[in-house]
Amino acid sequence: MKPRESLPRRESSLVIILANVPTLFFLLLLIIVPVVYSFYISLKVYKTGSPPVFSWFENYAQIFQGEEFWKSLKVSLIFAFFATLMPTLLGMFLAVLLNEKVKGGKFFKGSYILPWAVPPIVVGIIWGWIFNGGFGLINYLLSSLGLIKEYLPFLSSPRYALLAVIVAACWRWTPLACLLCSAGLQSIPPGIYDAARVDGTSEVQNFFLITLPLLRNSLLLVATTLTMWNIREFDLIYSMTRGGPSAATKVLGYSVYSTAFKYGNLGQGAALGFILAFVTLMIAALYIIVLYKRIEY
Amino acid sequence: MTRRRTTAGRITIYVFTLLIMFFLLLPILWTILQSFQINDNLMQKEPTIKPFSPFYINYDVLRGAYRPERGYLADEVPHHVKFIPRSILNSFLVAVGTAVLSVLFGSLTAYTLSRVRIRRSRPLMVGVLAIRMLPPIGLIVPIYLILDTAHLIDSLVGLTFTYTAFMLPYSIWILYLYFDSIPRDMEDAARIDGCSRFQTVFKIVMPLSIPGITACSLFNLLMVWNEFFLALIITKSIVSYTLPVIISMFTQTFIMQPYDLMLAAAVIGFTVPLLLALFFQRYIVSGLTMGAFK
Repeated sequence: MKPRESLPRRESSLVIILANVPTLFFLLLLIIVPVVYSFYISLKVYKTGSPPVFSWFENYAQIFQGEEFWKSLKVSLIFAFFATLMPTLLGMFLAVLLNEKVKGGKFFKGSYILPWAVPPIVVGIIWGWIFNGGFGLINYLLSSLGLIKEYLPFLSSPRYALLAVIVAACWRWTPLACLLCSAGLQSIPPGIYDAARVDGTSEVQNFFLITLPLLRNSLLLVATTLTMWNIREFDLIYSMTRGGPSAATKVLGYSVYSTAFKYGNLGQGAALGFILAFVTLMIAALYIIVLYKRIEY
Repeated sequence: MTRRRTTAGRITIYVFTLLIMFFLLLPILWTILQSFQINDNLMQKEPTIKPFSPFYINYDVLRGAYRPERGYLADEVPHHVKFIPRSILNSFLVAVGTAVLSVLFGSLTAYTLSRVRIRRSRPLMVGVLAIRMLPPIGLIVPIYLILDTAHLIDSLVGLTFTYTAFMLPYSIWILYLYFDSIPRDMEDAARIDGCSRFQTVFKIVMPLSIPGITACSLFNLLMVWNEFFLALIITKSIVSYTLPVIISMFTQTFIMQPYDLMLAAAVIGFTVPLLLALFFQRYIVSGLTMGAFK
């Protein structure tokens, strides 16, 4: 390897600094400063219409003592868990299937990405309509198959609302999971399978003994990426259930929104947002560790 | 791969592939097909397959025409429907503005990080990665207050700036990887031939990184076109709403819920990103895998 800086450094520091001023301006003003500022606001009792009063950790005390936050956290974690697990598995299977040569494979490979590109708000609208209790497609299919006698009000029943949102999230994330798993599959040397064939292993054994262990890192990356996206979910909840019925789908992201902008409690909203950012960064730390500790093969 | 398959094996693979593809594509196709129906047909338990004639009736209403065949009075169309054309323009302006700013400023930073000797550039890149992970929703209260102080609430400029801040880390990351993959020797040769650093950048680096810049711009366009939450908070009056915000207004309760118009609006909302994803798949895929893996 050649040394990184093969030419004498001729640029003055001034040019380097000038080139990075715009980036620094945007990142500082709208991301770094807000991180600090968010913590500062969260220490104030600050409601729209009345002047903010500094009050140390009163917002946090209120949040942690109330039941609402813990319920919201629980809903978020259940949502994030299933909306990560299901697309990861489904995406992995699709990636493995598309890796085989099948008729129409080119069409499948060209179109499976589409749900990922649909705006999340439209995903919510489409699935909200498909799950409609009066005339939705799911109800029609289930009743034609004889699985239900009467149409189920999925989105207005606390039992099914979260499930419906998870199905929508699963639809949205399966393509990304499949894409990342495909990239992982490409890096498995085909020679391994030839060697296994000589040893007389079955297809199923190949999958569990070769493919799955070698995909482990890709799967971990997919899972951490999706967890990070799911823990902040807002769009699907907003367009399908607005957090209802009776807070059955009120995830953390929706709590931030409703506390700060529906009820005008900016201080507590900032505190919830800070907690959400903190949880996300914990998952991000995990992601970065996975990313840099990849096993090479 | 040279594995031989039994017929049963091939059929199993095919059936499972079709099942998953059916799950992924049916909602899109069903939405397009049903957007050609009027509300009376949509609100039946048995779906109607055959499109209404003329099939584009809902799109005509969204365009601003009055179509009595739809079975409604002119004032029964929700107020926000009139603003769909305007919101498309807003979305377009914000998406292009963000893509330009974030790719331009992002490439300046990415090039610096990739080429100029900076000690500890790796921790800097991890920092960029960590910033990329921060959820807008977690920072929305301070962002709102900062924009409010700068009188940038309810302005497309404020929205563009906020998007630029959140897209910059992606752009820096993707472009950094592209710049890093361009051999330094070519630049060195140009420098020895007497090119200045700027000439090298414009004549050697830029042309070679066109695929990277394209991937990055498309990624920006797609993400911004689809973004909803920040637009919901930052825009206040209906003339400055972006398309996702206008579409979300169909989820409010109306006396006569216009499902037909809602579906047509949904189709309009996903047409642009789906076409981008189909025609520039190679770039988008490379942008996505680079963003996630390296």
